[in-house]
Amino acid sequence: MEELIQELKEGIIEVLNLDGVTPEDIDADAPLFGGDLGLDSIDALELIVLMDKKYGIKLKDPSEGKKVFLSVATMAKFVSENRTK
Amino acid sequence: MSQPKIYIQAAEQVSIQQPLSQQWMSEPILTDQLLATATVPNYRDFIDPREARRMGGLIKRALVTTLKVLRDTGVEHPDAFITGTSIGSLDYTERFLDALDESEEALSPTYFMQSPHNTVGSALAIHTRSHGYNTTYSHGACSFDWAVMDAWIQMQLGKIRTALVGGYEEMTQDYFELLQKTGYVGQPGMAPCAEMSMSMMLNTQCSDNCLCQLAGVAMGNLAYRERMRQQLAQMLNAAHLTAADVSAVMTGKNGNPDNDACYDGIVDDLLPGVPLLRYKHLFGENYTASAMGVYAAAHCLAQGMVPDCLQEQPRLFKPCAILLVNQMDQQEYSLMLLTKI
Repeated sequence: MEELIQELKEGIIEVLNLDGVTPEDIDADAPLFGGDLGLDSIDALELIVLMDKKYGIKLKDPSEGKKVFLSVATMAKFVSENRTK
Repeated sequence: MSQPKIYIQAAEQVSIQQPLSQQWMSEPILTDQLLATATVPNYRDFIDPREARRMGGLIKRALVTTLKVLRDTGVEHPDAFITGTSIGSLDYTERFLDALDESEEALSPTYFMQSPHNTVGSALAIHTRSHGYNTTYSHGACSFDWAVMDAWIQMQLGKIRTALVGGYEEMTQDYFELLQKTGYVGQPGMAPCAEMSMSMMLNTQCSDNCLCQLAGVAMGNLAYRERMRQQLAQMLNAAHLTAADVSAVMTGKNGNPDNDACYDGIVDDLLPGVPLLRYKHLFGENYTASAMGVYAAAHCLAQGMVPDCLQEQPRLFKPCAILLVNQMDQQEYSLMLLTKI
């Protein structure tokens, strides 16, 4: 799981173009939205694209997305249970 | 009621040359690259990285030149933002289309929402919280010129007093290679195909820091000489000038023999014997390159000198009025007259 968390942090930084942010700056248990990263609804869409392209997971239910994107740790748990690639 | 005079209060560029600087006048950078990318300033000096992270290169360069002009002029919220860009955010457009081509079902919203041409002008207005007139012209090689014409007309009608007018263009390798096949750019001996951003503030109020006066603008669809002569005569008459007062003509010569011959023919007809200036070998060729001609001419008039690097046959003189001619294949064309203050 630690390896997947690290991979997700790097993926988030890349797709959201978080200039100057390192994986170490992201607390795996901290809220992804409403926290220090300053993410917004467009970023949520980018994360949905990331989940699809990298892990083959299609998130269609918005309420499901809210739970999945609570933190990097919740994302990692969801990916490990649902990935198709 | 007399018609207002219009001044270029400030003009800034990001291009092949040193960004946000007039260093090109004394130390021009010359490149033999066929495709040259812009030398960019430190964006962090102008834009919060969190805000910049979704912006493509074109928008960031446009925002930087715009913010510099707003800072220099003290005009916080211009009455209008008028943008000229022929191909807009080409890089993001290509990324989005590439994803579609690969049959991706989930497409990046960032590339999609940033790819329309008018995203540039919108980003400038959103960042500066300006809610006035905002329009984008995408009209081939006269995109910037139509933006100037829009500002000119609205100022003459008294609808606006300040306008941030800009010309912005970026280039990708793929699109460059397509243009190269047409012969428009990328041939030996031609000016490099290049990215650029130029923002200028037009103001009906003259102030100490104004660079020059924008004394006239005329456009046309086909470069009929008789029509161009009439337009120039009207322009000079309105500015209380004669042909003898024009110190130089700034052309868009780019090293393409066919293109350059068009300019020679037009100038020989309109103002024979007037010294010729050119700028595309310094700032590069692209559809909105005419913005750099206006930028260069404005700074020459402000400084009362024309550097050798712009002159076809260098000599020392103090410019009083510079006529800018922009055309493509003798079809779309513009004439602009800049005069010293």
